[in-house]
This record gives sequence, C-alpha cells and structure tokens, in this order.
Amino acid sequence: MTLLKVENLTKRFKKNGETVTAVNEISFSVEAGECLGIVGESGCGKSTAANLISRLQREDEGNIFFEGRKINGGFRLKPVGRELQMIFQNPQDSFDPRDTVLQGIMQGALSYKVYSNRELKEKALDLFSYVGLKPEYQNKKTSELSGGECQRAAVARALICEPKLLICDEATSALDVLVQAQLIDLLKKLKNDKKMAMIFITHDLPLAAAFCDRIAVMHKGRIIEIGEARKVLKSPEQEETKKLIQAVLPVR
Amino acid sequence: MVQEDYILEAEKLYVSYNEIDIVRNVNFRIRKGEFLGIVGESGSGKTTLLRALMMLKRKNNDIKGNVRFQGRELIGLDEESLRRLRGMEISMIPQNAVTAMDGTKTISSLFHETICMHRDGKIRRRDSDKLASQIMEKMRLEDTGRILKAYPFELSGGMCQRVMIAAAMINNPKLMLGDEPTSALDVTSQLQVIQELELLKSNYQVSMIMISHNLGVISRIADTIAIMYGGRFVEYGSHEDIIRHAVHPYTKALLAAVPDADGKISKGLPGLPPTFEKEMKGCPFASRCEYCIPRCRKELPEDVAISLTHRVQCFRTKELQDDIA
Repeated sequence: MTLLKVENLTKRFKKNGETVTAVNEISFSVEAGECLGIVGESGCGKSTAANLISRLQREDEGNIFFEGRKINGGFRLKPVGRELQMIFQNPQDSFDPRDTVLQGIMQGALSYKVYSNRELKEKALDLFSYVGLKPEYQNKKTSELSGGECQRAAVARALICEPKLLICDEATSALDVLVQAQLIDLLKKLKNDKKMAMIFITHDLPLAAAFCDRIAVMHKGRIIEIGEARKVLKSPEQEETKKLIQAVLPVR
Repeated sequence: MVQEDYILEAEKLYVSYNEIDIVRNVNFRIRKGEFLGIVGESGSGKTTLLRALMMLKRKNNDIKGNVRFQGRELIGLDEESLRRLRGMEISMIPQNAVTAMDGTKTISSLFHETICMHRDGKIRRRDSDKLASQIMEKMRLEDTGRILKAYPFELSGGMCQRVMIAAAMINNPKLMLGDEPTSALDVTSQLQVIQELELLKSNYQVSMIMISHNLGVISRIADTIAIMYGGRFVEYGSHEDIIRHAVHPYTKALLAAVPDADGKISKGLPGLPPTFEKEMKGCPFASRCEYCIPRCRKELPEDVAISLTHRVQCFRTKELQDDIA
C-alpha cells in the first residue's frame, strides 16, 4: 500500500531579488513499512522537501497524498500531524530547554489531545526503555543529556504519537560514528518491530545504503536518480551520484 | 642531539579540570612533516589534549608532564613567549570556521590581522592582500579577489574552513593543530578540505595533529593514528598498524562503525564512554568490552609495545593478536 505520494512538488525562494528553485518538480512515493533514503550535498533541497512533506513549509506547486488523502493546500497539519513525525539534526535545539526529558517527550502528543495526561506519562515511560534511555533521566533537562541520548529522546517524542511515517532529517550527522551506529540500530528496530515507514535524509550515501530499501539522489532541487539502495551504491548511473559516493572516505 | 628531530614531544602529559584528570598519561612525538590523527568519541578528552598542546588554559585547568616544541619546554613558559609561538609557529584550525571568524570583518581584514598580530611591525593592507591571494591560490582556491572582499557569512561553510586553513598557514607555521575541521561539513565539502590538507602536507612540510571521530577521514591523511578513550591513548601506531592490524577492542569497534563500500554497518557499540572521576579503577573501556576479564576491572593496563611503532593498552593484547593471526 502506498503511504505517501508526492507529485511534482516545487518550492521557490526569493534570495537577493533572484528566485531560487530549492525543490524542483520532485515526485516519489513511499510504501507502508518502507524506508526511503534521500541523499544529496548541502543545499540540494533535501531538507526543504522534508519540511514540505511534514507541512512545516508551504509548497508553490504540486500535491502530497498521505494514505490517499491530499494533505497540502494550506497548513493543515492536524489531520496527519500525529501520523507523520520528524526528527531533526540537532536534538537539543528541538526541545524546549525548560522542559525535563519526560515533559519533552510527552509534548509530542500533547496538542493532539487523544490521551489523558496519565496515559501520556505511562506511554512516555514505556518508551524510555524502548529507545534505550535510562529511566532516571526523566527529570533531567535535555541539555544535560549527551547528543546521542538526546536524539533517542527525540525518537521517543516522535513515537509517542504512534506515527506511520518518520522523517529523519540528518538525524545522525551531528553524532559520533559509534553513537551514529547505535542510533541506526534503534531505527532498524523501529522498522522491524513497528513496520514503520521512514524517510531518511543524509549526505552520506553508504550510510543510507546500510539502512534504507530505496535511495533517491537529489541534486540542485531535482531527484536525479532513484532506485534500490544496493543498486544505487554499487552501480550509480549519474555522475553526481558517483561524486557523492566517492566523497565519503572509507577506512583504508 | 636526537631530540631535535622531533617537532613536538609530549611525555607523561596529564591535563586536569578542577583536579580531575581529563587527559591521562599521554605520550607521543611527531617528526617534521608527520601527520598524527587522534580518533575518539565525544568526551574522550581530544579537544582538551589539543588545547593543552597550545597551552591554552581555562579556569582551574592544570597541565602536568612535558610538552617540548622543537626541544623547548612549553609548560611554564610565560604568556608573551607563548603568544609569539601561537599563530606564528603553531596554528590551529577550529571546528566551525564561520563562528570562529569575526562576522563584522572581511576575509581581507582577517588575513591582515593575522599577519599584524604575529609579525613585528605593521604591514599595509595591499601587501597583506597580496600575501593572502598567493597562499589561497596555492591552496587552489579560486576567485581570491571575491573571497577577500567577502564577509564570512557570504561564504559557504566549506569555503570558510578552507580560507581558515589558508589563514592558519599565512605565517608559515611548523605545526598545525586541527580540531575536527571537517565534521561540521557535508561529504563533498569535507573532501575538498581534506584535499587542501593533503596539498599542505606535500607542499609545506608542516607537521599536523588532527582530531576527529571519523576514522575514514583520519585514515585518508594520517601517517600515525592514536585512538583515544577515557583520556588515554589506548592504541597508537602507524597507519598500517591501526587500520590493518588493530588489536584494541575499542579500535575494532570504531573501524566497524563506518559503513564500508558494500553499505554494511556493524551493530553500534552499546554503552557510553566513562565519565571522568578523580579515582578511576581498572581499564576505562572494561564496562563496554566483550573481552573483559576480572583483572580489567581492577588494574589499569599499561602500554604494551607490539612493534617499534605500535603500542596498545590492553591486558589481553597477546590473545587478541593471536586471534587476528
């Protein structure tokens, strides 16, 4: 079943009087339980695409369908907000610094008013162990956690809404390699246990290939190549894709 | 004298904050033109070590041991001599160049200031611009006229980092220290910065110490690699020793955490690096190590030399080596 369908999505920005097309007529779909990697260098439009899908920004043209329902055309976040969650590059910045970790995680579902406060708290505490956070962290401030721990809290905040699609915007780029590997483990667990669909945005193509089913390569606002992850990594068709792969330095 | 072959020597170096040691018993020396890469997780003491090598002290910061730069002891040297050394003989590239630059000043004025600060006597802006263009052209930066007129925020992150490296080279230092100079960049600009550092290595014979958490980056340029954990160099050796014949379980975990050419990635190492305490018992890695034996929790492993270039801090070095063979 197709969970998300994006058709001819376009977003333009005005910069110093010039119009820059950040996202240029991109189309793709994500099946239920599928993980799609979006890869490209800085400024290729991958984050803008993510923001358009999660309705943080408004598109200029194109359509977005979530489970067959059109979700764009004005800011209509509420109907799909719970089912479509996002985690960001800098976890610390995405939490209210005044909140404790527990409050921060509960915050994720607070505005949807589906659960009572007590239910929410129970759910949040269950998630603590699921994402691998120590229960004694619940009363700490998010600024007291390490980057990796804070990103786990961000995953928990997304999960409390029981989403069907999780968008990870460079969720591991700010982390150490070992912590990155741990977080990838956690995302793999989500994919296997909860059959969650994901859009995984990164500039590291081999990392995307280690984890995603399919990969879309973006360059200057367009999707220039999309295909099965192994195939894109092993036999890329476009020059830009080859460049991206070569730029990642393997250990040797 | 043998000592003069080395640009920098650190012996039994301990760096502490509030009387808690962050860097513990670090020993190494580097030759002219040698490139040392230090790899470790956040909180392993990498940046503290690097700052200590430049004698940059924070409040309640204490540095013990020996640090010799071209045979001259740096610990206990007066501030004025240190100031002359920094930027002239030893220079540093920060992690985030954009924030390290003064946002209200152009690149041209960045170079002008760098030269005036460290060379005696004033220099005209026209001359400093000329020097800056020369060095940037050598680093294969294009359109230097535009760069000089630009403010830091008008350049991309990768470009700023490359300009910063050029500025660090303007006084022709003997030693360059890099604090994660590429980890804030995406892969394409990272590669450009690495290529620029390679150029430095071949053109200028400058020695370099660079820290990073990414073994892929380090393995591309370093001659010697140190693996840092819990404030110690748990493994130290030539590029070949570390990449091909790694012994320490932590080094192996780091090697496996970078996705390989087939897009495979290992399971992450569970647990967290140790928090620093005054008294630390046993091997810092013991709680996360799958080869841990009771002795590891009680005693601290000392350096074991496997070969002339390769040393490891692990009680099970012998067995682990046999495993590889």
